[in-house]
Formats: sequence, structure tokens, C-alpha cells
Amino acid sequence: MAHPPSEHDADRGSVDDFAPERAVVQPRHTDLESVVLWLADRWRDSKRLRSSFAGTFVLLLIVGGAGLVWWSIQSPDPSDTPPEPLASFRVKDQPIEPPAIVPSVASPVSNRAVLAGRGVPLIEKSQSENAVSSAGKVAERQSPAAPSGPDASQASPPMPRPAIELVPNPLPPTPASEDEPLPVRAAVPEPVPAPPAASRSLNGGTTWGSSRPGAEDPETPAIQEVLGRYRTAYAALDVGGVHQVWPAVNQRSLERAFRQLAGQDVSFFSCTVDVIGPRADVACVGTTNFIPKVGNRSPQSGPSQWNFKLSKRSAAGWLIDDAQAR
Amino acid sequence: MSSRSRRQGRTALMAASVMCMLFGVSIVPAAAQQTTVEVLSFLLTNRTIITGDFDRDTQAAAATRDTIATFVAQELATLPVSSSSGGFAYRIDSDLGTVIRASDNFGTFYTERSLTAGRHRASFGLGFQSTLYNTIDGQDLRDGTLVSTAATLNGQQFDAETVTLRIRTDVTTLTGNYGLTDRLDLGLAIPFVHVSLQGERVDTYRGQSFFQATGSASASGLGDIVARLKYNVVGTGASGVSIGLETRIPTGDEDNLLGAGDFSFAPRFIASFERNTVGLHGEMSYTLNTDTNTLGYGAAVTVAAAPRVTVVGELFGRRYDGLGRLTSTTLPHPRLAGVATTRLTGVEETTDRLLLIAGVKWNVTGTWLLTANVLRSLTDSGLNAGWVPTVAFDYSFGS
Repeated sequence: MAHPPSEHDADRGSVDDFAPERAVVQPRHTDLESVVLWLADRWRDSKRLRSSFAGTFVLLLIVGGAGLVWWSIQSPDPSDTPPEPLASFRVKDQPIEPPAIVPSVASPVSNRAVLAGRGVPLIEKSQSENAVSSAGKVAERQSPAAPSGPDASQASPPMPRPAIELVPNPLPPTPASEDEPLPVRAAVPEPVPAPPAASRSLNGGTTWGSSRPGAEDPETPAIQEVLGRYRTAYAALDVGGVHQVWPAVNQRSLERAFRQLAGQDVSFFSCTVDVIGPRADVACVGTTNFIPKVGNRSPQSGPSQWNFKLSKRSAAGWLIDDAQAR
Repeated sequence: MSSRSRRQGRTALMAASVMCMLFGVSIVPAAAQQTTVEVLSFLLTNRTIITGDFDRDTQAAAATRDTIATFVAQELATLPVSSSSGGFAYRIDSDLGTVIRASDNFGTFYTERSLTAGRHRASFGLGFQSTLYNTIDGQDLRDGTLVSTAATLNGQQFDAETVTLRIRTDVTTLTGNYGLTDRLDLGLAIPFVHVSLQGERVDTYRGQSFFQATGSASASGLGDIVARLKYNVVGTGASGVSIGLETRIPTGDEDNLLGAGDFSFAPRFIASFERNTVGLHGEMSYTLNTDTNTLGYGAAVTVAAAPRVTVVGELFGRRYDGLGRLTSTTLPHPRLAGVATTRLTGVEETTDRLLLIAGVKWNVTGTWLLTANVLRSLTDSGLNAGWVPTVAFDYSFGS
């Protein structure tokens, strides 16, 4: 390569005049002593060290603040409050009407309320625990000596309403795997509530009432049956079953919602029925527990209040027109 | 929220606090007597070519150094801190009478989505990203072709100093997100950064190469902490509009390229639309900073390929106002006729960066989420690597 002659060469001289320069970077301190010395030496003029301490301080402040916020918001949350044992309130507050059917046993066995833990639904259990509804949820047991049936009831004098015992509703166990079916309520088909007159107050674990006291509507048992099927279908994650009692339901959305659940359990504690001609409004309070397919597999709480609108159709009987849950 | 969830939450919070403290106090002294910036400055400063204007050499080296330092800071500021906890949240659908997942997918990486975690729901994550930069403003950093200073005679280069730089950043980020209310989230990202720099300067004079200098430095420590708030203004399901505020606290050491050195605030506007398994998300932000204001934008598509798997694709852009770029300036030699000196320097001008991100979020078990993504720049500006991998674990509780 021909070098262009220039003054620059003269200025520069030879490249040998330029000794290679090296940036000598000191090795890291490797032992505690040197680190301590380094800290002492550099504390005053080390911006980095100061910023590190400042950063740690800010960090601790933030974490501490977050912790305070966390604890401060642990105040009782209305949504966390365990469901009130509505059934027992009703027993206390409502005047007892002479039931059409009463057990012949004169004295109630017990009248205690066992409060379940938060989030565990409370299911009322009468001393007449005969008909096991499903999954051990509700048991109406009658004394062996107690005759049943209309005759017996008619023979019995009017008695106080049976005492109500609240027992925890055992949650379905978490399945070991996704493939294992969840033992939800649907595992045992809920018998269609045979509407004896006594179920005016107790039916399938649900207290039924009317917005007009003393005015029991003869349609109430049929409405109970519809809502029982609604509950059963939801517990079974059975879209078809829901559609049978609620034709207007968005099946596609419901199917998608049910696909996200490994199991669901719906319980109504109490329902208030208001029948006006061929239409009825039902307000229910209860609890829903579900186990999601994705995420935390422990049971979580779902809707606890329902408002149903039903109408009676000549062929199909009572059907749900609309249901809102919250 | 059950008492078990509360216990879990407290335990996790305490664990996070302990981790933060451990990280916080275990910051290793950054290598040495010379900071990373000083070593970078040394490598970029000409000491061989007789330019006749040492001050200008120094200024050019300083401008180049500052530009590279800013590039590194901006790269470190691009962290995936989006929360995934919405994918584990269930909400009551009053019309259906049952619960549904708040979102079928686990959300995005860099672009925010409007969905908030929900009251008392929290999550934390630990992510790791390692980046080895290959190019700077389109010029190769590692093959020795980056000319820092050159001399030409009548347009023909006869002496040139080239710099080789090997810049690597390893960022471990601890993230946390907590739903103060159903609509308000508080998020925190605490990066721990390791920056290593190795370089050498070679002078090539009339075809002959002469090794001039080498230098290396590394530093580890806390980076700039990011705190953010997100408020869901309106939303239906996982779709909706949110606004947010993000602030960066200059806890990282600027002299060792661990942080930007300034506070910054960024209001954000976030919109999401989700239908069944597909979600579209977009965000705009404007970062107010002492040195560089930045317009940020992002768009993301999330697809729930399976209930436990979300595939994410994102475009994430930044327009830096005055971030700068590297350029070469040529000036005549003050004393030698026909000789000109070319210097690498940094100039302030608006710079655009656009990143492509693709990745997967996989719900391994419970509420544990493994996320993995790769990032690649679609633009030449700034520091660029090839495909940059990021791996993170997230855990949500209170769901």
C-alpha cells in the first residue's frame, strides 16, 4: 500500500512512539475486610453506594407501606362475613303458624346453632331428618316413632314449628386431579321435593316464605320444584338441565362458564316467594361454592343472592324467565 | 377472601419483604475504582491519532459515552412488569348466575391491559433477562468495525481507531402487584442489574493494526425501582379502559449504568378488548424525564391456546425525544492541510424504537405461572441484541 506523503506523517513520527495503553481495572474485593474498607473509603464520595442505600431505604418504605395497607384492609369485609343463619332468625322472629303436618314427638330434640367457619354454608337441619336430599347436605330426620303422612299430621295437635339446627355444610373435597369427577351435589340426584304441607317452612334445606305472611300460594310447591331443578342443574354443571327450567338462558355463555369449573355447589338458605297470577318473583339467599379448573383449587365463594322471575305456562308449568345472581 | 388466602397473602408479603431486604443489602460494590462509565469513556477517547484538537476528541468521546450510557439506561427501563393475576380471578356473572374467569388468558408482557387484579388479590413474580448487545445504531459493536476516530488525507483514510465493545446486562426483576380495590392496582418492580463491559481499542495505521487499549468493568446492584398505579375506569369482563401512572425511582447507580439517574413519571392510557379466548390490548404513555421525554405505545394480542396456556404477541414502541444517536462528524485538521479528522459522537435527536415480543404464559400448577418470551428489535436505533430471552415465574394469591 502506497502511503500518501503528508505533513501528518512528519507530525506523527512513527507509530512506535505510541505505547499501547491499557485500562487497568482493579480486581473486585473478594473478602469481607476489603469490602468493609471499601465501604468506609467510598461512603462519602460514592454516589452509587448512597443511591444503593437510598434505594434500599425507599424499597423498605414501599414494602412497609404495602404491608400496612395490606393489614389495614383486613377489616371485616361484608362479602367475607359468613352467611347469616337466616333460618334460625326466621324461627325466632316469625310467628309460628300451625303447620299442616307436624311430628308427633312433642318436644324438640335440640335447638342449637352451630356456626360454621367463614365461607362454609350453613344448612338448616330439622329434627325431622328423614329425607336425605343429596350429598349429605340436608337431612330431614323424623323420629322412628313419629308417624308420617297426612293422617298422622291431621291427628296431631298444632305444635310449635320444629327447632332448627344449623350444621356446617361439608364442602366437596378437592379432586386429586382434574379428571377425577368432583363429588358435587349432582352425584346424588336430588329428589323432586315432594311438597307436603310441612315444606311450607322446610324444603330441601331451604326455608320458604312468602312476602305476604299467611297467604301461602298453592303454586309454591311447583315453584320450589323448578328452583330445585335449577339448583341441581347448576351443581351438576348441566347446561341442558338449566335450559329445561330456564329456556331463555344463554346456553353458550353458560356452557363456557361451566367449562371453567371443576365443580360447583349451590345452596339456598331461604327463599321468599311472591306469586301474582301466572307470574312469580322469588328472592333466595344462600351460597355457592365452586372449584375452578384453573387457579386455586380450594373452594371459593360465588353468588349468594338470587332473584328469579318465573311465569306459568300452560304446558310446561312454571319456568324461569330471568335470574339474577350476585 | 378466606382466612387461608389471607394467611397465604401475609406469608407471601413477608417472603417478598425478606427477599427485598436480602437483595437490598447484598448489593456488591461495583467493581472497582473505575466505574463502568469511566471505563467506557477511556475506551472511546482517542489517544493515538494526532488530531491537533484534544479537547474536541474528549468532547466527542464524552458525547459518545453519554449516548451509549443513555441507550443502556433505556434498555434497562424496558421491563416486563405486567400482572398475570387476572387469569386466576373469577367473578360473578349476575346474568348467568355463576362465576366465570375474569379473563381466559394471563395477559401480556410489556403492554399493559386494562383488567385489574381485583380487590385483595396479589401476585408476585421473579423474572430474568439476559442481553448481549450486538449493534449500536446499526453498527456492529463486536467485530471491530466501529470507528471512534479516523484521519483522512484528501479523502483517503490512512489512520483509524476502532473500538470493540461487549456490553451485557443481566436483569433479575422482582415484581409485585396488589389490588387495592376491585378497580385499582398497585404494582412494583424491583430490578437487580448486573452490567458488564469489556472493550478494546485498536489503531490501524496504513493497514497495520496496533493494539492500543483494553478495559473492562462490571457492576451489580439495584436498578431503578418502578412503582405503578392502574385504575380501571370502565370495564366489562376483561374488556375496558384503564388509566395508569408509572414512576421510576433513580435507585440505580447511574455511573455504573445500573440506572437512569433521574426520576420519571409516565401517565398511561390502556384499552383492552377480549372476546372468548382472544384479547387485544393497546396502551399509550408519555414519560416525563429530566433528559428525555418518551412517547410509548404498545399493542398486544393474547390467545388462550388452552385454559392454562396463553400465547402472546406484542409490538412495543418508544419515541425518545432527544435520546440521541451515534454519528460521525468530520472536521479539517487545524494545522495539516488536506487532513480531516472523523470522530464518533452522539447527537441529540428523536429516536424511534420498536420491539417485537412473542412468548407463552403457562399455568404450571395452582396459581404458578411460567412465562417465557423472546424480544427482538425491529429498528436499528440504539443498542440492539438478537433475540433476547426472558423467563419469569409468577405466583398469584387471594384468587
